[in-house]
This record gives sequence, structure tokens and C-alpha cells, in this order.
Amino acid sequence: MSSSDIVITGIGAVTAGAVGRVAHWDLLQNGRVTTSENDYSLKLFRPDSHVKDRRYLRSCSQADGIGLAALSGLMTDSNFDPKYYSPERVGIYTGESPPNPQDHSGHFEALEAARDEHGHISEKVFGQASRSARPVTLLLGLSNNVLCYGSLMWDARGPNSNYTSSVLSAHLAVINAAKRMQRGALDLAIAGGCSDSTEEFRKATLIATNIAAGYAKGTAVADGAAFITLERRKAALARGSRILASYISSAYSCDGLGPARFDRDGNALYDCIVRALSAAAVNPAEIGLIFSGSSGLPDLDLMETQVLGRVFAGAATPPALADTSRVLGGLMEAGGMLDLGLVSEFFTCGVVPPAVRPHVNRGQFSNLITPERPFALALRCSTSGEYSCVIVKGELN
Amino acid sequence: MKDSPYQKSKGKRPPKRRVVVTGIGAITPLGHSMDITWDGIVNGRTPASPIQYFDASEFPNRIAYQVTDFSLSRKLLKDGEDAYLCECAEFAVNAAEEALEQSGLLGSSRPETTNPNRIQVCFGMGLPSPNIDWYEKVFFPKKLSLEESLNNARILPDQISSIIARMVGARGGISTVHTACASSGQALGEAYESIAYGDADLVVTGGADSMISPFYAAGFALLGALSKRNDDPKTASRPFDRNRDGFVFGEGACVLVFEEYDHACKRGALILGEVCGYGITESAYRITDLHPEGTGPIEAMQMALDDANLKPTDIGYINAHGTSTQLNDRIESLAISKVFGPFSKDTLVSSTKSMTGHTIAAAGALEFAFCLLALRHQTLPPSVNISSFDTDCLITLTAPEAQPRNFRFALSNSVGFGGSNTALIAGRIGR
Repeated sequence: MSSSDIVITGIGAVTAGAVGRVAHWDLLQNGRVTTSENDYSLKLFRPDSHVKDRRYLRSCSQADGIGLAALSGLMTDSNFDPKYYSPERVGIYTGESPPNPQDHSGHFEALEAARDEHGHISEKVFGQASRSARPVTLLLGLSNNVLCYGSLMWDARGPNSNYTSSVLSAHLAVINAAKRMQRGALDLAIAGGCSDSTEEFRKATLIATNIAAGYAKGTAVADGAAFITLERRKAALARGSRILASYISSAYSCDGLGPARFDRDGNALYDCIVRALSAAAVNPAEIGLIFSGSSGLPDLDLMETQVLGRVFAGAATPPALADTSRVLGGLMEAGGMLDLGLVSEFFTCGVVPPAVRPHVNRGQFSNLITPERPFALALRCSTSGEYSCVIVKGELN
Repeated sequence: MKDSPYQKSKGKRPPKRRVVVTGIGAITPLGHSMDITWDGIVNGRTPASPIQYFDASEFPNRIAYQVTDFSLSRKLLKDGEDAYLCECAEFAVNAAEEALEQSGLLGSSRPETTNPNRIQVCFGMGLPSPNIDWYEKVFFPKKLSLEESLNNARILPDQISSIIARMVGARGGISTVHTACASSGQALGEAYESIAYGDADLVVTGGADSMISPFYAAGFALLGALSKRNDDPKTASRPFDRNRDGFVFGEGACVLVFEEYDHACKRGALILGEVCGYGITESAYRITDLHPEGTGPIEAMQMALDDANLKPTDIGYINAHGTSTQLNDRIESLAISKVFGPFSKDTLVSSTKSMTGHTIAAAGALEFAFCLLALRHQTLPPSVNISSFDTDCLITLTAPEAQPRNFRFALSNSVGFGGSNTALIAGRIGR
């Protein structure tokens, strides 16, 4: 099976700005008014009305709830009908943020009850007090709940995985799901991720403090979830499914310098892009659109820009460059999925909407997207020097 | 038994490359190296004891298999990296050092021929295990200083993968997997496939976990999953015994070096065994329970056999997930009996959790390493703490003492909360 036989047939997404595929494209086209980091929080989002089976939410954290709301939307968007697929050949690949301490609310009361007269928490008293906590307290903190409940929702019993690889998580989910499909072990894969990290980042003062001014002071971390459906073109057409884009190839790499360090020379990112292009047998001149990884950290963004300059130095006409995190925020474990699923909308539009034009000066790239070059390259870059690249093709008919 | 659904894809699969193991390192309650740990397994040691990490006197379950007298090795750590290490990640640092050293990947013995772009890290990491002190310092405050923020970073699960990548000079990519108790089984499976299908030549893989904290002790107790044999810790973990009453916490790390066969041969690496097959399924039943018919593990084992192109009778030993809970052991043994036949004498079963406790995210890696060593030494691990075998478990256990056995393949099962099931097949090299 060639890579282009795998197609994207649906998007399910919940972010602070929109819910669903159409609403997200509208959001990316028109932008949004952002005045503070609170705009990217889904703390107040209630998944109940979005999730197909609300029983699942009884033992779900907020991140899980957001993820299941997105997976429910994906089911509708991809018009999923289980009769077309054997459950053993349907697999879910997720990325999910580590448990948010706020999710451990069941133990919160026990912790408070265990304070002694000096205000210290006594382990001994906690041992007693925690006995009255709800049993699901532990389950709220599991980072593979979306994989579990998503599998129940989709009756997916095939190969699966869950990645806790920070901003690369959803890309790794797509990369590994697609590899499984290419090897013939899966017919349908659901891939993506969810994240609920704004509160922790805010507390750690690691979040951008002035969103409206761009990314001058760090990552604008956003809560959200986004998943896509991958299936074989022939099967998708046979069941009358709409095809949103084709998956072409992917790669990932790392600098190998340890946590919170990256190589300013950008060699590993360069290798990652070249490998993905090589696997796709696509020439850089055929890439019409790049979705930047845009971490929000000036040095990393500068390195990314320089690497893209190296890769596309020989292209007669520069590709267009888009930065969807300007509107969506840094979606962490959920990041990158809307880039892949909405690529055809970008090609049809023909221009990078102003709201998602890169904030920093990246003059060597264009704002025009030409259908003659229907391949798009989507990047993810982490501050620990980890990189991924997925190449997709717009479906323009 | 119906045909495996995975046979549908037979004949379509791309050719696979052979994957071998050239290094193993471990930090476990049995010892601070793989050799000492294996010695503990062969001798049936059960080092469980009352929990020492916190005052567990008012908890319903007060025992664990703990790593004692541990000190972090700084030989391969860079300045400042220890700030990113939670306790179980510290175990992984020492285990990685042992595995990389055995594989000849450190210092001057490091092969020049290995392309860094063809080296990856794929690691199964447990959940953060905050102690009470952490809640006081990190959870309750509204704002944190940089130092306090670093305390938060210590529990991010992907930091150890990044550190191991630096140790081995990997530039081919990093992934960190979490599927509860199946985490490292899954990490090993993905590492194996990465090499088998040509994406990498060498992958450092494994798992680490420690859940011996007040929070998890309370949580698992509420679920009724832990043994209450507080007065007799050494016999509390008793997989497949009629009177089993839950699992006992373990902790530790196991790191393995997986390598493409020709790549290992060319550099003259010691080959410890082969990774022959991998199966991964999802039960899609309940978050904490197996399907009563054992469908998920059945399919994972069938998938691994298909992948390895083996018959059930080729497998001489199964290292079961065998947690010592009533439910897991009954259903897993049912699944084994459906694939390998009831009370099969060809395929003997044990659960080494009677000697290590349940190391959660590290279990899959550690137990696959036991399969490799069992094959290498042609020795079956003993079935320990069986005072009355549960005959509802339709399997044949290994003997109470380690026994010699001529066998070529072994299978390791992992089953996780959330429904992920893995099966990995190890082969004796030179078979």
C-alpha cells in the first residue's frame, strides 16, 4: 500500500475558541480577540452535552472529558459506521497530558482533613481520611482514560497506544497509527490528543503573560483536544465518506541533548524534514504550505525559521507559512491535528488567513497557497529538542 | 477457537528485520542490577516488607516490594539533570547505565559505525507519584518560584526518555508511552517494530515506575486491588494461588537495548536473545476489568504468535501478567488456556510478581527481560507462594523451585488499566 492510500476522513476538535471542524476553520480564517491567557483555558467547559455516553465522564478528568467530547464530534464528522469495520482492525492512538493535580479532587478533601494543628498534612490521618474518598479518585488521574473510553465508544479493539511526549504526542499518535495501517495491521485509526495544562503552566509562571502581544514571553499554553480519522481511500470511498486530506509520510527526530535543551544549529529538525520528504518522494519545490511548529520561544522559533530556509532554499517560489497556534494557542498534547485535517480548506482558500500568519518576521515565505503544489508540511518542535514532521496532501476536488 | 483476525493481513506485511537484545539493566526490589535480580528470581526471594517511604500505619494495605539502599549514579548524568528526575526516573538512570555498558555503547567502546539518526528511545513511564510533601509545596500554592516549578518538572513523564537519548547519543527520535501496566510492554513492542520495519537500527527501551505513595496506596485500596496480608508480606503476592487477595506494590526500572541483528553482529555485540513477535490489542470493556472471556489478551497472544510465525506449542514458558488479584489471574489463565490449551504441559506459566511485586509501568520490560534470561540460562523461574493452586486457573505452573528446561521461545503478557494488552515473544539466540 502506498502512503497516499491513507486518507483523513474526519476531525473532532474542542478548543477554547470553537468546537468542531467547521467552527475551527471559521476561527482560523477570522481570528479571535485574545486579551489574556484565560482565553485559552477550558476550565469551565462542560463535556456532558458533547459526549455520546455520559457514564464515561463519571471517572474522567477535565482533560479526559475534553478528549471524549472531541472523539464524539469525530464520530459524527467522519460519519463512522461500525458495520464497515472489524473491531480488531480499528485502533486508537492518543496523546494525553500527565494527570493534572487539580483532577485529584477526590483526595483534596482528605488532604485538607489530614492537616494537624500546625497546618501540616499528616500521612497517618490521610490514611484514615482517604478511605471515604470515591473509588474513582484514582481513575481520574490515569493518563490513558481517553484511549480506554474512546475504544469503548468506537468499539476499537486493535493495536493502540498513548503517548506522553509533550507537544509531539498527537503527531506521534498519527505517525504510529499510519505505520500500523501501512503494515496492514489496521483498517481504521483514530489519532490525536488532549491536554488540560493551562492551570499548571500559569501557576509555574511558564505561560505567556501578554498573549495579545504575541509570544514574546513564552508559550501561550492552551487546553483542548483534537483527533482525526485515518482510513484507506478505497474503504472510505466505498462507504461514501468525504475525504479531507491524504496522509503522505512522516518522521521524527531529536537533538539528544537532554531535557529543556535544543541545538540552535537545527540539524535534527533539518534531518527530520528531509526524511519525511524522502519517504514521501516529494521535492521541497512541491510543498505549497508549511504549518510551523512555533513553540513561542524566540530562540526555538528562530532556529525553526532558519532550518526551513535551508530546506526550501532551492525552491523557485517559496511555500506559504502558517502558524495556527496564533489563534489556537499552544495545544500541547493535542497540537497539530487541526493543521492536518484542515489542509484542504487552506488550499481552497488560496491564502494564509491574516490571523494565522506567523507573528515573527519570516519574510522568505509567502502568504499565497497555490493548488499546483498541494503538499503541506506540518511541524512540531519541543523545547527539549524533539521534532516531528507530517506531510499531507490537500484534496481539492 | 476461531481464526485470529490478524491472520487476515498475512502475506501483505512488509518483510521484517531480525531484532536482538544486546543490553539489559535493572533496578528492582531484588537488587541493583539485572544479574542480582535474576539471582533473586532463580532463588525465589520475596523481599516484600512494611512500607518504609511514609507512615502507612493507618492505610488498609501497608506492605510493598521496595528498592532499598539505592543511590543515583552520576556517571552519565550531566549537571542539573537530576532536577528532572523523579524517584523512578532515578532508577531508570542506573538501569540505563548498566544496559548501555553491557551493550558496549559507552565511552571508547561506542561503535563509530552507529548512525545517531538511526538510534531512538522509546520508554514506558509511570504516572507521577507525588508524596504529601509535594502537595504542600507544589499543589496548594497559587504561584510557584522557578525552583518550585522544577519540582513540578520532576514529575513530567518524558524527561527520562530525553536523558536516556542524550546518554546514548540518539537523534532518531524519542517517544514516551503510558498505558498503565502495559506501558513498557508497549514501549518494547514499538521499539521492536521500529527496528524490524527499518525505521531504526538501535532503540533503547524499557520502563520505570514507583507508585508507593500515600496517594496511590489510598487509590488502589479504594479499588480493592491491594493485598491485605500486612502481617505476612513475603507471602502476600501469590499469583494463581486459591487464596490470593490482591497485588503488592513493587517499584523499579528495566532498560533494554534492542538492535538490528546484522548491526549487532558487525560491531561484535554480545547478543542476549531475540525479540520475535509482538501483539497489542485493546479490550474495550471496562477501565479496570478484563473481559470475562479474556478476549483482549487472547488476541494479543495470537497476534504475537502470528507475528513470530510460531505455533502455540513452540512457546515453552509464559511470564504471565499474574497480578495476584482474583479477577486478573482467573481471566488471564483462561485466555492462556484458550490459546495454548488447558493445563498445557508444553507451555508452563509463572508470574514473577510474587518476587518483584507489581512494578506497574516497568512490569512489561522487567518480565520480558526475565523471559530472555530464562531462555539464555535454559531455566524456568519458580512459582513462589503457591500454598494451594487455584485449579480454576486452567494452566500448568512452573515448579516451586527454578528448574532447567530445554526451550526456545517464551512469551510475556502485560495487561493495563484502560484495556491495553501486550504480548511479546522472546527467542533463544542461535536456535
